[in-house]
Amino acid sequence: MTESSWKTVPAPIKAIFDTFPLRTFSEVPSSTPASDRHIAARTHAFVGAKPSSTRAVLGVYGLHEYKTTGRLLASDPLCLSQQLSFCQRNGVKVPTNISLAKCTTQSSGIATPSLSSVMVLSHHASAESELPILIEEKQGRRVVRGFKTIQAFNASHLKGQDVMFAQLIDSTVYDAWMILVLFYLSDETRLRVYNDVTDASWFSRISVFNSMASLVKRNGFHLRHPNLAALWDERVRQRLVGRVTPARFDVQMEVAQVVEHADRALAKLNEYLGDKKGFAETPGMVDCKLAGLVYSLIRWGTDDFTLTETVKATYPALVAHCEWVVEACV
Amino acid sequence: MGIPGEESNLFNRLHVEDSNLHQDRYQKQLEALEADKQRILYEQHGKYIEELLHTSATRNVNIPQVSIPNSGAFRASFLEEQLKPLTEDFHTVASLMAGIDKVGKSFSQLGVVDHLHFELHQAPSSNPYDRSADVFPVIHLQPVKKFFAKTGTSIGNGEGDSYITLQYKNMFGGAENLVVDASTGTRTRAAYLVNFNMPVMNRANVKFENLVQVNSQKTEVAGYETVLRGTSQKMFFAHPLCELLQHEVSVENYWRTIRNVTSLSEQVMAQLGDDLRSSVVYACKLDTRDDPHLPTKGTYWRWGTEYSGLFPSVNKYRFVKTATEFQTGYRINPFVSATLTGKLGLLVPLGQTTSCILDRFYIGGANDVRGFNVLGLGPKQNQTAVGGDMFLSGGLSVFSHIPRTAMDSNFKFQHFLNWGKAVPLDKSSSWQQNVRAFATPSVSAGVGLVFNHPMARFEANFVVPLQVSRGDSVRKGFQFGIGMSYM
Repeated sequence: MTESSWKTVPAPIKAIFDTFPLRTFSEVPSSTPASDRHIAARTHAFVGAKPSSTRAVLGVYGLHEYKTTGRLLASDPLCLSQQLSFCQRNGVKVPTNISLAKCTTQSSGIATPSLSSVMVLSHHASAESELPILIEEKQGRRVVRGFKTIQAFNASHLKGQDVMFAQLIDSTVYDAWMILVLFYLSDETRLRVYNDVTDASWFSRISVFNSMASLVKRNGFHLRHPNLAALWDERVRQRLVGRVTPARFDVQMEVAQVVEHADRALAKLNEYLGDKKGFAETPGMVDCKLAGLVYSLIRWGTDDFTLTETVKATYPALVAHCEWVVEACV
Repeated sequence: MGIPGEESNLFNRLHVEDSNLHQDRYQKQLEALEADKQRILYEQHGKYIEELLHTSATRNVNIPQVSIPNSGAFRASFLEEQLKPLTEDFHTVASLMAGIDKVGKSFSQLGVVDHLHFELHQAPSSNPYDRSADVFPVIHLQPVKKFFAKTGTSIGNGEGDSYITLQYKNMFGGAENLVVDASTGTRTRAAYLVNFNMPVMNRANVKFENLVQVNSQKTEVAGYETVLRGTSQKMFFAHPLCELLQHEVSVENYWRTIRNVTSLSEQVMAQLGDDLRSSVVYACKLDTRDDPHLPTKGTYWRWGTEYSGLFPSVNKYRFVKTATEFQTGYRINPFVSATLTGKLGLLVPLGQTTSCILDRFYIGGANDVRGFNVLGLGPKQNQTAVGGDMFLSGGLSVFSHIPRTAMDSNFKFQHFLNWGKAVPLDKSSSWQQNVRAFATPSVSAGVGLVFNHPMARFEANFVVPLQVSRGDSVRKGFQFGIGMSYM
């Protein structure tokens, strides 16, 4: 017996109500060839990825060509580590410099929409304002995993001394990269790495400061170096009104200290690797993390950033390791 | 048996109450008579003026001077410009009256007086054969209060906001106004606005407005947050021969940031970040409605067009956008009136790029196409409304008098039919193919109760969708609306 209460809508009324709407038309299309091209122009499929109902899109700040191979690597080291790790886990290679838009024919829209790929996004794509993010699509259902979730997932697969290596790389070595970005890179390079923009217009320069402000909070940098993060915030504000902060002695000291600590950590890692190819027989999570950072320090390092020269000249094992991991994914 | 003293007291009290009642009644009758007298005097005065105008309309009038006793709040050049209709031309009685109307209208248009009235004094003529008269107009005006500040907070339904508004009116004695507005809350994170406006060359029908604005707003239904920072410079003007048609030209530069909150749409993802919108906008409107909230006669028409891409090197999205809307009110009989509303718009992206989600058209909601949620109609991707480049919407509403209520009651019954559709523009297809999408609009119908308050219109409706497109966000049943403009 069914319970009836005053809250229950009487069946005849419900039946009348359910007859509406009287007609249902097909769904309004949400995209046009132009909007598809706009998405496809910033999307590059992993080489070897097979069309499937399950796919993943790795959101990164920007991409650049690896040597002259026509293959694209993420410009930011943490995104690159994730890209390399993705390749290793899924048995695919890094994307080519042919975007999905160029694979597209005018009539058919995106040719390969179901391929796992790398997509260039703004840091605003993530609710935490940090990349990389992983957009997973399974049978039409889409989930976005933020950087912290990815990190937690990666950490859960680490065991033994790998945990220690990963922490050392994620903190001490990563901080050296942040010093390079915040205090040595030109606006043009910052725009290339973090905004995927090659023309340094005045408006792009304003927006790169926007992305830098969120970058200092990524991966705990602002917690380990609150003074440097605060100084950057101050610098952002002053730069917007056209003044340049004078170099301060205490800041110089802290910057030098961070670089020195990273140097020492890299020296130890170089020593540990020695003649070994990597931390495991095939590139694993720690290998991808270290290769991502070492590659980025060498690729984007400036002449006045001493650590870049030190790595290239003094730590051959690290350079060889980096090439081994990257080449395995190219 | 009662006590004789008490009886007499009671009698006295009854007598006093009775006399009080009589007094009240007499007082009311007296007031009514006084009101009648005033009305008759007013009508007589009006008739006298009418007759005077009729018989002496062509009589010449000299205005040797105009006096404004309380004019310290205004600049001389500003007053001279407003008084031109009285001081410049050669006058007859009829043109003098028209001039007075113009002066009054100028002051009220500029919003610089709380109230004003005119007195006309006639000087005795020295020449009995001269039919012209010397008239000395005296304008009594009360300038508005210069400084005004208002603060407030509102809390409810798990949401709250607070605001502060500062106004400095008539800053330099020429109707220059400065408005500073700041608000913060759960929905609008922060909004700051500085608005400086002034008449151009002291003219009431040409106004310049400079707006600096920072606005950070979370659009929950869209799944993203927008931050707007920028300026707009606007010029409002109306031609003296056609003052009902008002024009607006503006140049806008806005740095826009779109941040993701919950959206999973690839289109939204691809457009997140910063962009600069630099536009020139022209809009005009004509409004002859008797009531903007619930018109029973008159027409409203507005047309606006925008070209965006003044700085092609930094403007990511270049486009031309045009939209128009009209509304007409019609009284069918003393008990029933109807309004017909229509809106349509077109956004054409220039070059190979797509249009920005912030520039597109979004329709649906209690104040728009009823029977659908806000942003409920049009293209959607992964449950996020991504907007249309073309839209068409409209509504027919019939308002009827509620029995046993006063004829001028603000409560009305309404029956309505609404329709609308928003679609993307596919530039690779022909115009005919694009326009064909409007052949299947979403339609809803309903009945409801309307309360037309002078500040806004309140509605409680029962609505059902008749035709929908798959993916439309439907609102079946009761829907409530508060707003200034409705479909």
